[in-house]
Amino acid sequence: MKNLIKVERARHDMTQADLADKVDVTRQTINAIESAKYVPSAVLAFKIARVFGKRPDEIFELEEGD
Amino acid sequence: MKDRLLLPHIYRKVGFAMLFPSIAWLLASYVFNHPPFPFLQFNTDAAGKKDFFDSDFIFERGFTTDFNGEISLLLTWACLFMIAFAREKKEDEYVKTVRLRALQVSMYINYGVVALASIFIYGLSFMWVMYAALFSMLIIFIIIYYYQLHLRPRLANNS
Repeated sequence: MKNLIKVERARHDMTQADLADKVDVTRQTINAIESAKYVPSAVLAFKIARVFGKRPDEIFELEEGD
Repeated sequence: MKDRLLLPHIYRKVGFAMLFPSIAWLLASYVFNHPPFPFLQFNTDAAGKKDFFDSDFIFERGFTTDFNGEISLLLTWACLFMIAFAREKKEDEYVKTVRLRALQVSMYINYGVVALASIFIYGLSFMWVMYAALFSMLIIFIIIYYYQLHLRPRLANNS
């Protein structure tokens, strides 16, 4: 699953640690999601989208084979 | 949700602090044959079997036993267990996934090695394989878990 977390972070001038604090996960988790090594749960995807004021499908996008 | 199957985070530090003294104790007892605590050697009565399927027990009186080996073995295992299964400061879904995957991979590797050893190693030497298997699964798990959770993100950030 592709995501635009890095872009949104840059737009909101936010570090991985800032975002991690806001959604109550570790920085490693944000790092793993950004580098597409981990697909977050629906709850976490909703939380991340809410931080950026967007809908989850605006941040996360299914890829072929998903 | 709090994971009740994990130890509190402080146990990781306790495990690391006690690991090297207990390994030194283990090596002194088993490899160098210099048990450091002589008061742990005492005479006792022992019961055993010559063969596993033997119905008769053999009793031996005044059998000298040395608990340096047993205690250092259990202590080393306990230290590895504390390092492996202490909770992270912040437990989240990714940490749980990494832990589960590391546990699965370490179990596969460990059983693979034991299976190979059962083909190539016979007799009393196989007992040493079983001793090693007691530790190897935890050691493999710790290596995979720490690499995935702590080392790999750091290496990825540096490159």
